[in-house]
Amino acid sequence: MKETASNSRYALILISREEAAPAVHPLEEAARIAGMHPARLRHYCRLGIFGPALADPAREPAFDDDQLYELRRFEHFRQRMRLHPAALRLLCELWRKVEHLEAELRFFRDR
Amino acid sequence: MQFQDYYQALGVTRTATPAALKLAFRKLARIHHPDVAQDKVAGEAKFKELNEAYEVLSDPIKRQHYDELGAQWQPGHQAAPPREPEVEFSGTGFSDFFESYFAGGGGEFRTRADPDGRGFADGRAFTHPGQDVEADLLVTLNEALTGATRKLTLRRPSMDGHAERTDTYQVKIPAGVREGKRIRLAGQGSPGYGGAAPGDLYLRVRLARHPDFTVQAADLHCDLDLAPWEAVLGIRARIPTLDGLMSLRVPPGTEAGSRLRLRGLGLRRDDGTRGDIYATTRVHTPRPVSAEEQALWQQLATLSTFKPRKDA
Repeated sequence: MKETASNSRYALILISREEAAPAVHPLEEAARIAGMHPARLRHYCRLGIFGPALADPAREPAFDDDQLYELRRFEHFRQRMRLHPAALRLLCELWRKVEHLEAELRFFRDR
Repeated sequence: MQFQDYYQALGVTRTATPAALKLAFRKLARIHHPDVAQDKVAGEAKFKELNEAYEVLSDPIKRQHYDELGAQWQPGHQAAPPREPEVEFSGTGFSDFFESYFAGGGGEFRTRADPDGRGFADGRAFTHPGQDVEADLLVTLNEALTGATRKLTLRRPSMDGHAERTDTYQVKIPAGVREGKRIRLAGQGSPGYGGAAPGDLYLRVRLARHPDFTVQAADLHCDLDLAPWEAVLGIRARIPTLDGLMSLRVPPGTEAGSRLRLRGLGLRRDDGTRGDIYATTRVHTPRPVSAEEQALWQQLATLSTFKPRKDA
C-alpha cells in the first residue's frame, strides 16, 4: 500500500514492511542488491565468508537483512578501499566478534 | 537540539556508581513500564527516556563522552549536531540528541558516514547509487516476542535538486527479533545520482532494558530474592514473565546463586521455539531483627550442626 498526500507540504509516503522488502533473499537477488556478480558471492560462500558453506552444490544459501547489510558493507570496502578479500574476511570476522562481545558485555553489565 | 539531562531523568547524582544507576533505572522502569503504567502514553514516553538515559550512563565510554559534553553545554543552548544529518528520524524511540551523539555504538562504522558521498559505487562520474541510511530502533521485549508495527518518520533535507520530503513508514517488527538485528527497507536510503538506484534504510534493533530481565540471546535472566528460611524450607514463588505472573517451585535447601529454569518462556529462537527464563536466587539477611527474632536465631545457632566453614 502506498499513499501520497499531495496537499501536504511534504510528500507523505506510507509503505508497509512487506512491500519494502522480503525477509529472506535468494543468492542471485542478494548478489544483485549488494552490487556483485552471483559467481563472486558463490565464491565467497565457498570460502566461508558469507552464509553456510556450499556442501551441497544443488542448494544455495539464502540471506536475511543482516547478511545483506554485511554483504553491502563488504562490497563497499572491496570496491572503494580496494581491500583484498583475505583482509575483508578478517574484517568480517572481527565485526562479528565485536558485535558478539558487545552483546555479552551488555548482558554482564546489566546482571 | 535540546540537551538531555540523563542524570536528572534517572534521579541520580553525577557521581552515581554503576550499581546506583542500575538500581535507579530498575526502580523507575518498574513504575513507568508501558505494561504497568496507569497512563500508557506518558508511561511509554518516560520509559523511553529512562532507557535512553541508562543506555548512555551504563556504558563507561558513552558516559565519559556525555559528561564532557555536559560540561561544555550552556543552559538554554541549542547546539548544532556534530555532523549535518542527512536524514532526521522520529518514532525510533530515541531523541535527536541521542541519535546525534550516541547512536550506532558511539562512532562505529555507519554506512551513512561516507565522507565523500559516493556510497557503494565504484566512483565513475555522475552515476552512483545512493548511500545506505542506518538508524537505531528501540524495541521492548514484549514487542520482540509478539512482533509489532511502528510508525517511523524520516525527514530528508533538500539537496542537489531533490526537494525536501518527509516519509512515514509503518514498519513491521517481526516476532523474534534480537538485539542488533537489522530490518531493511529497500530503496528508502539516500537517492542515487544520475539515475542510479537509491540506497537502503537499515533499522538496527536495540532491545529496551527491562526492569526485571536481562537478555542473553533468546534466554531471559532475572533475580529471585529469598529469605533464609525460604531457601532452607523451599517455597512456591510467583515471578513475573512476559506472559504474566508464573509460579516457580524453589526446592528445599536451595543455595544462594542457584539458577532455576522456567522452560519456554523466553524470547523466540530462530527455529520458532522459545528460550527459557533463568531465575538466580539471592538470599537476603533480615535487618533489623527484633529481640524475639534474635532469640530464635540464637536458638537455631545452638541447635544447628551446620558448619559453613572449617573453623565454624
